[in-house]
Amino acid sequence: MSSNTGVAASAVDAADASRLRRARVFTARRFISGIIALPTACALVVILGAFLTPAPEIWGHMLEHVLPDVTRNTLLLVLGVAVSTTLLGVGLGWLTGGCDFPGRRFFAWALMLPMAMPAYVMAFVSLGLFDVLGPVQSALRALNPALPRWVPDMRSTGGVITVISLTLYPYVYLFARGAFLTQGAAAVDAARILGDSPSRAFFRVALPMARPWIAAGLLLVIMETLADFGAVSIFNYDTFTTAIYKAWYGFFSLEAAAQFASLLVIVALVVHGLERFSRARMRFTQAGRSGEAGRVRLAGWRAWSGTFSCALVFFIAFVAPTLQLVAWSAEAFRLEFDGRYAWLLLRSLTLAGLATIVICFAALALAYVRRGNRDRTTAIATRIATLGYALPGTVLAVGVYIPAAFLDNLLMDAAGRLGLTMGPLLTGTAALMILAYLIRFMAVGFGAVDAGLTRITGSVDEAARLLGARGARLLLRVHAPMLRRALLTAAILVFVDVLKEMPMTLMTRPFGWDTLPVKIFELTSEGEWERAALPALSLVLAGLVPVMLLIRNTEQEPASGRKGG
Amino acid sequence: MPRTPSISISGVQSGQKNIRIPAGAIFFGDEMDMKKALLSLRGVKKNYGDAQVLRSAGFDLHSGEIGCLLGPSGCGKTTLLRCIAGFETVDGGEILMADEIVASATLHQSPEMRGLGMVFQDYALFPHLSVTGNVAFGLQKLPKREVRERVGDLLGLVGLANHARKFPHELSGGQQQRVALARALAPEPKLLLLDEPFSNLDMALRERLSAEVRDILLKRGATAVMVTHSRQEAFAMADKVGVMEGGRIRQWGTPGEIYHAPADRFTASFAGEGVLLRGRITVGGGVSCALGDLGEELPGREHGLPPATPVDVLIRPEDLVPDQPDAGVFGVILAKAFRGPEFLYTLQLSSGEQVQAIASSHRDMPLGSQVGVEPRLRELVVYPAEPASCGGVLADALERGCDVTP
Repeated sequence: MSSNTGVAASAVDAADASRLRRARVFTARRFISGIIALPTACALVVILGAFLTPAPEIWGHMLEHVLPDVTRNTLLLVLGVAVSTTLLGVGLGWLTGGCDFPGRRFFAWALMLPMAMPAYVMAFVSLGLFDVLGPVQSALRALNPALPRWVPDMRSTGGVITVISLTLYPYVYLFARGAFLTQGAAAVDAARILGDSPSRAFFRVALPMARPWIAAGLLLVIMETLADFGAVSIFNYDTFTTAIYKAWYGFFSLEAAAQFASLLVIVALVVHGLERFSRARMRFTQAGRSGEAGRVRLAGWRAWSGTFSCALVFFIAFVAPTLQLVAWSAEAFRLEFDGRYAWLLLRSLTLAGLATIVICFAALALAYVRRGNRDRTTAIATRIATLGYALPGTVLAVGVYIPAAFLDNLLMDAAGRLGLTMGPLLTGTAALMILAYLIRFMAVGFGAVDAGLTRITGSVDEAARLLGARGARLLLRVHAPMLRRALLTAAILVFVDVLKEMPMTLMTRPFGWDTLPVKIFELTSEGEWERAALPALSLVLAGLVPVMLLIRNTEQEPASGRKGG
Repeated sequence: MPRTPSISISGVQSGQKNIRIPAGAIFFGDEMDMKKALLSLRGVKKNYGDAQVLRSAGFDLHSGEIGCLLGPSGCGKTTLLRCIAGFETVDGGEILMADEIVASATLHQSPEMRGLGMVFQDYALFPHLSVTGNVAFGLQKLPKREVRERVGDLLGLVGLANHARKFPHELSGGQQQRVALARALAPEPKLLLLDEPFSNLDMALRERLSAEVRDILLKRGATAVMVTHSRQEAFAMADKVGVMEGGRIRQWGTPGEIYHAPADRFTASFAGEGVLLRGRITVGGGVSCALGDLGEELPGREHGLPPATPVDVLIRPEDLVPDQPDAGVFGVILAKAFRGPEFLYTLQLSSGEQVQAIASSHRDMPLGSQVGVEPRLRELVVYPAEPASCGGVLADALERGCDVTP
């Protein structure tokens, strides 16, 4: 019923807004939302434009020799990752969300930790682990010299799929578990009293009800898989993202890169659209009390196999790679940890910090604009401004570089005519990188800030106003304290995302500007796993912070949901 | 029993009850006692860690009866229902269905084996199934044709024949409620459990639906246990009401017994309005109080208390008729509440004690005026006297946090 009144209210708002629109087409607020959406819109137009513009000669060669392989590889990868993350995510989600067994509480959050592991880190660690001289083969050889022959080759399609799945399954796990927790319990109770055994109730009720959730998690996984550049390039597995990189940096054809990007972006946008659709469907299936009541209590060997499965996944996806990183870091520590590493770290942190400040301000501005103007124009601007998260980094790198180079050329021409000499303002400077980060991670910051801002309802403003707080006083005394946590969350999420970002940084950085991921990329492309371990471990540790935030949020939710029941 | 005009005008609902429920109980009573109970609870105990949620809950429910567990939140009523359903194990006592133990400290039959139906507080409809799919969910073992027939019958019974293909989110709250009822009834359960089934509905719908659901249950001859915190709901639905508090069933009886002859102060205050007046037992077994000598001819005078024992006597609002100039007792109107058909007056007697009385709203007596009051009790209900603070207006006594344990 409340949603109906909400719809009615927003219809009234829209009517008001349309009346206003006739009066004033350009307001300061709309202008702000337009400015924030502009870079993303620009990048999108440039990339989609490449799809329509005549292709350069080199594209013909690539169409014939590169595209078929790349398409097949990308499809295989997406399919394999989708299937294995679904199996892992749904299975583990049901175990920790719908069953009870020894260690369930621990694994419920521990199984989310692999999210902190960037896929490219997992990739080189697993290559190192299963290397001929790596710990796995050495241990097997010690047992029996014939055994290592049975170790599967990690440098294979199966290897890439496994590695990426192990870092991405937490998305499906998170959503599936949330579904089983929030709407599973009551429905499973209902099914059982209608005569279903626990396992029957799972397949007839819990699983079908969780479908929209699982789909949402799975589509995020597909988005991330399509966008992955680091892991596939470490495995020399050619996909669209590596094709874009190679076209640009191997064949020096920005146009061919844009052609690849335009194909990838269309797929990414379709996936993004599907994701929004499945999120909308989640609302309909939100029925029932959440709680611990409906858990299936596993007993005997079932209980222990539940514990074992969770422990196995946790060990392979998090414990083993972390231990390997620690071991390598310890070896390489004296070698790597010097002034140069401190500089590298400092530069990474500064860059991430700068980007975080810019993104948080933009997100705050956009969230306030949207709060005040619930009209179509603002809604569209918001949608565009937050679209960047669906776009792979390699695509965005092309999308920001082309217009930036165009602008730089215009400016340099104009300066030349005035008899001045000047270098490029955007291309090859940190400004372009920050712009690229803004486009890519706006959605992350905006989501967190907006969630905080929607908690300050209109009646909070009205109550404060009646008590005499308005204008700056209202912002300082009411809004600022209420938004503090949301802003902090936004800052942490954005900071760590920027810190871990690899392909955009690699492709838009000023010459010689290394960040931790770029350093990892360079070292791993030379097979120097040990030396890459220290920056990788730093990233994993930083990545744990937002995962902990996420864990705290998700672990709180069911408890607060129970109060009603 | 003298029936006063004021009661029949003012308390349509309670007047109806007075006729129907005790009569039904007496009529069925003898017959039922000979039969075995369909559901029996004996001293059921349940702990969550150190917290004793159920201390010793017991009652018998016979086939065709609607029982109702009534109590404030946290009294353990929902836990007791979940124990009956089999979602919770019990830590002591036993639950018997048709003379067979289904739960005890050492035995637990799983819910799907108990052959029960349940309507959940939030309905717990399956959002991925249509109305038909929901109702047919428990009919796996029947042939398809029979399933179709039974689903059709039930949807007709709950008045949703035209909504068979809709999905739960397309239905209103009241319609979802009826789907939940049809789904629970479809497998023809021996016993139907209803967990606060009307709490998510607005007031108007709640009254209408509870009458409708009672009709449906009677038509099907279903035996049911319902949990609620609303006495109106309990009285409207139930043949037997169990008032629960602190993990115990304080009293198990017909709504009439619960209201007119509450076993203890807690039940008295939870089941209705009124006051407790201080008095002393008279030689005839009645009570001498601020309203005069009462009850020597009434049922309830065989309480076994010796003459001159200090007691509190229960006076319900309909036990007093105000505006009687010939009455021997007078009160000053301290407060009044308009309730549509009647006013609820709070009067102060010359003893300083307060009483409550209802009278038709056709006449509006001003605050501060002095009126004659005539007691017309149906039954004498006395409790051995307790500290002064625990007398007075019942609703306040609960809020004052008085010790209402017997």
